[in-house]
Amino acid sequence: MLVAGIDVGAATAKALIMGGGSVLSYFIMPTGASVKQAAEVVIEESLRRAGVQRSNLDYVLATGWGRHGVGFANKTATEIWCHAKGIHFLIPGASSIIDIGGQDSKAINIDDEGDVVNFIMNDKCAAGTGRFCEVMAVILHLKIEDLGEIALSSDKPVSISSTCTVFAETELVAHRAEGESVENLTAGVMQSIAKRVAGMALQIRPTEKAVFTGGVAKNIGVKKFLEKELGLELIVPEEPQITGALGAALVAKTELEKSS
Amino acid sequence: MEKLLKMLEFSDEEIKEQMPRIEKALERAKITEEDIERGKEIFTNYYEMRATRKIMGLWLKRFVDLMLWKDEKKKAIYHIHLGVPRYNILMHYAHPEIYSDFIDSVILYGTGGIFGNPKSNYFLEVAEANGMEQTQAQCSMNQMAYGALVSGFLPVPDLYVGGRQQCDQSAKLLELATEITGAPFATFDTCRDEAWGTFPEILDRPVNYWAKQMDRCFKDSERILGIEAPSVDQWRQARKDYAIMWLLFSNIFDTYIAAEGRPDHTENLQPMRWAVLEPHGHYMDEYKAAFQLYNQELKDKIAKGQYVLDKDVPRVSSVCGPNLIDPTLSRVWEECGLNLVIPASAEWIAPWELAGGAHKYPDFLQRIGESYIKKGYVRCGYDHIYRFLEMTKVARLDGVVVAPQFSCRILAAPAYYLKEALEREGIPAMVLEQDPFDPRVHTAEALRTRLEAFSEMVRSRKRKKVSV
Repeated sequence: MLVAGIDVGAATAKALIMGGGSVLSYFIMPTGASVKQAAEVVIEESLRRAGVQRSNLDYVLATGWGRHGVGFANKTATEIWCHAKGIHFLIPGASSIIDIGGQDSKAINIDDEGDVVNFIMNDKCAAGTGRFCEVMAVILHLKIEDLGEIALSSDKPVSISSTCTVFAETELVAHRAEGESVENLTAGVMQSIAKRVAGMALQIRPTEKAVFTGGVAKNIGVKKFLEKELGLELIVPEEPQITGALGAALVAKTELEKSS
Repeated sequence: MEKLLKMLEFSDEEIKEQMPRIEKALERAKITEEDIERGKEIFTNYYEMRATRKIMGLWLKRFVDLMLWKDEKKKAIYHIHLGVPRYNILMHYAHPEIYSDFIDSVILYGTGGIFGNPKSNYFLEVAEANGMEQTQAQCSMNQMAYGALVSGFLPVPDLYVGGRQQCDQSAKLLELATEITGAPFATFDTCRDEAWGTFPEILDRPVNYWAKQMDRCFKDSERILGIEAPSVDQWRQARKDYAIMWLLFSNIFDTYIAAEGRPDHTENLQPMRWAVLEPHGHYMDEYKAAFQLYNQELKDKIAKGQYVLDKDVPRVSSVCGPNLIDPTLSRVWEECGLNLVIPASAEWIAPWELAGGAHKYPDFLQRIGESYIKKGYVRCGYDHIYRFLEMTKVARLDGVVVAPQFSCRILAAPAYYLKEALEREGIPAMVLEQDPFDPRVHTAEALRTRLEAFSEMVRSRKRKKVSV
């Protein structure tokens, strides 16, 4: 039984191939302008890495913001459901997920079967998402992957609005003009994202054994501030960006088993 | 245009008689052939219920009246959301020579509802270009009215009327409208500060305050317009008509609640809901007939076993309901597997409201205040929550999407309290920030993820309940 999960997010597209209940390969790339094209590239590259032919795939399930644009998928499911299934598989017993993606953030509580029991998603605004990090990195002339490490050296993070990317940008420029160190500026950005996401996540009361996923989970600075805001230790999977695609592959496997 | 009018259930006689007025009004409103084609496409793909099309036809008639009042009437009152429905009905009986209507909802449906989003979005954008940004302390209904006034789309009226009965937004808008156009305004205030837990008792103090405030508003209107006060019989007729309208609307909900699945597409009820909140006396008989037809159409579908959604689909309610004019956004709810049995709590008549019997107060203004206060959601957050908890039992709901208009003073504030209260009772709930008047806030896809995830969650909980 060979299945694929595809997660087309606003920032990155991910595909994962699963065979016999094990992960065979995965691939991540920027979504770019075309969902259809991104889906084609990630599936082809994942298949190549797994060393299997597309014609051998028994079922494909698409998730993420662009899921309805994946024409070759047998079925679609929301990323909320797929994250839950993916994390339950990776970290059995996990009860909460905090996911910060490119354009949205969400908090999900799951039960002991990996089913969603409560969730919340940001609305309408890019504050508290990966996009916020990208905008701020540009202003600070830093690489996005360096932000976390730099923030850890801060002794006093600056205070930045946690509600609006546009206002935050103005505030950051003002702090820079006042001569604040790059470490304190960067830490301020990380803290701002953490406050925004924690404010949302606390509404569904995340519990112990909480997992942090999405591209922003790779940022050690955001993780540190988020743990402080939530009062919880967060587990970050080895590759936090593929949990949605993994969940999609697991749901694909279940669907296939149901139909056979 | 004739084809579109037929789609809106205009009779041949009506078309023949009304076409010159309609053409004149649409020309004045800059409705183009392209807009008319867009309208035909909307009514080809959506709104399968004849009654809904009739209601849309009534919105068009009201829009034509609005565009032509300067030619046809002596004076005009512009009501602003949230206003006094009975007052607008009454004006038709007492002073038919005066144009009186809710300009925001008439423009919303008369442009965007019939001819598509770009027509109503225009007024929102004009408002934004003139300083009233989206979400900035004004709901988008107020924003639409402001856009229509500031752009000069509407002639200046003789009076603006609005209420502070639930929030201060319309009153602030009236002050602004007066500032822009010079026309005076009249408002009425109420008090929503009763003690926690008072419900269901109705106290004398707020009832008397409502009555006095309404009396003041009417007296101000009479003074400003130089008109005689309506007679008691005219008041009685307006109140009776409005009560019948609500009862007929309530019958529709009874049918939805009793139905195993969902008989019609979700978008159908949306134009009808707003007609109940902001009605017009001149079209009262047509509204009543359309409501009765709607219920009959639902019953016919049920009798034939014609369901859009089957009985296993989760039954839910909302707070403000789906988008009022964009059928694609309303349809998303059912596409995501949610049967929206009661779109908005405010429009559902609770059993205790009908069982309440005779009014406690003798004066008709006190009785209007009493009726408002009986409807929990305008009293305080506690009553809003109580109402929802009761509704989930009566309507056999599986979950609630707490989806207020995100800058609504009354409904957005208690959203998370409501979610918590529902969850304490074991009812799945999700908060969804949305805007039922402004289709620009959400794309269908952004809505879809949240609603689909909620639907999956409710189904999973139902499955586990059954297996236990």
